[in-house]
Amino acid sequence: MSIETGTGTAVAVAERDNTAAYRRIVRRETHSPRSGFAISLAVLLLLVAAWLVTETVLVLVGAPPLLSTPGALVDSALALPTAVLPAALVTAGAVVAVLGLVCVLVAVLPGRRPRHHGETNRTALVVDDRAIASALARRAARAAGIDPDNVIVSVGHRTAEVRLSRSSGWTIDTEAVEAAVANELKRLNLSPALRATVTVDTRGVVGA
Amino acid sequence: MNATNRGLNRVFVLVVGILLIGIGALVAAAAAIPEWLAAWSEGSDRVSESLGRAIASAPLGFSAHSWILAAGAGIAVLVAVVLVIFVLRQGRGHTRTVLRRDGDGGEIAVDADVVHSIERALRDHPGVASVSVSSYRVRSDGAVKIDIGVRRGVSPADIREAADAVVADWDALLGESLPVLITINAGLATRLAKPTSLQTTAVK
Repeated sequence: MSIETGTGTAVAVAERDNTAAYRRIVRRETHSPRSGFAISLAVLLLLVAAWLVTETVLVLVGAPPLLSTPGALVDSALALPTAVLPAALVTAGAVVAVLGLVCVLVAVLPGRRPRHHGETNRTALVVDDRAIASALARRAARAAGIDPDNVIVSVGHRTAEVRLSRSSGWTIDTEAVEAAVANELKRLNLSPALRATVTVDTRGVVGA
Repeated sequence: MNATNRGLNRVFVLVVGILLIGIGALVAAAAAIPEWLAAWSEGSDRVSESLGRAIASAPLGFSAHSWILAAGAGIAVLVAVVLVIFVLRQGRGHTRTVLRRDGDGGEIAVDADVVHSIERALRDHPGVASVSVSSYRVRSDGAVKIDIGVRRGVSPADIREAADAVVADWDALLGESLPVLITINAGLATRLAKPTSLQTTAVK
């Protein structure tokens, strides 16, 4: 089947309240699920567990170990304080603790993705920051009368930085660029709202 | 929009992190403080002794080895199984049926393929480089996600207007307004696609 755009048939659409669903969906789309990190961690632990099981089975059937028997592992772990230099132990402990700190930070920080969400009406909208930057660059370039390749836009969580490089001998109407960028941002109506700063590279590039 | 248990992911990473911090800090502190180091090596000797005795007194029927060894392996198997389940449970929640309603004398089920017609309707838009539509279960009902890759410089506002128009038509067809998420990206397809030559953005 196909849907023709612009042929809105007059059928009563059941009213439903999607507010709660949208809040959940938008929150999940703008924040990382940490799946990649959690899966990597789980796979690492899984490999260690599988290796320990393998070594144990090898001992039980009397086959030579892959790397070390469980007994030898326990022995060397117990011998750590005497067998290894204290300085090496301190370093190793510190490295392990730092890795742990990284894990804790990944778990606790909000894990924001570089995305913004638009106004929710019938549909919810989530826009990638690169798409925002690309659209702003196009508008800024048109307002300035320069090539889009000479506009660099970086979009952060709350700010959009528009930098234009100017060819020698040409002037750029900064106010027009600011107005165009502000207009585009107003149309997008993003949250968190972006505040734009427009700067013109005054050095001027010959032939650009 | 998938059904990944994000809370569980966080808790898992947090617990592993706390364990690593605890072990690392303890090892570093014990090695750095001479009295602790002495106590540690003394404790190790005692553990080694008692462990040796425990293993000797717990023989496994059919072999010369201790069942403590087998129990250790059993715990490792259990941990491995739990981890496999944890990994496999990530990212599910796709659904084949976006809507299910009881009608007079039967049930109406709307297949996800029906939703995919949105894809065809949007593909011809000049600003669109790629479209993919997927359907998920959010709470008990279906929800639709429209992923749109835009061409360079195209305003997401224009794309949203076009997508909203398609969704409105679709609503009229279905008689129900399912939650629809539109995501607008400038991904690989965007970089490979040419910028639109005929871009008639009406400045409002």
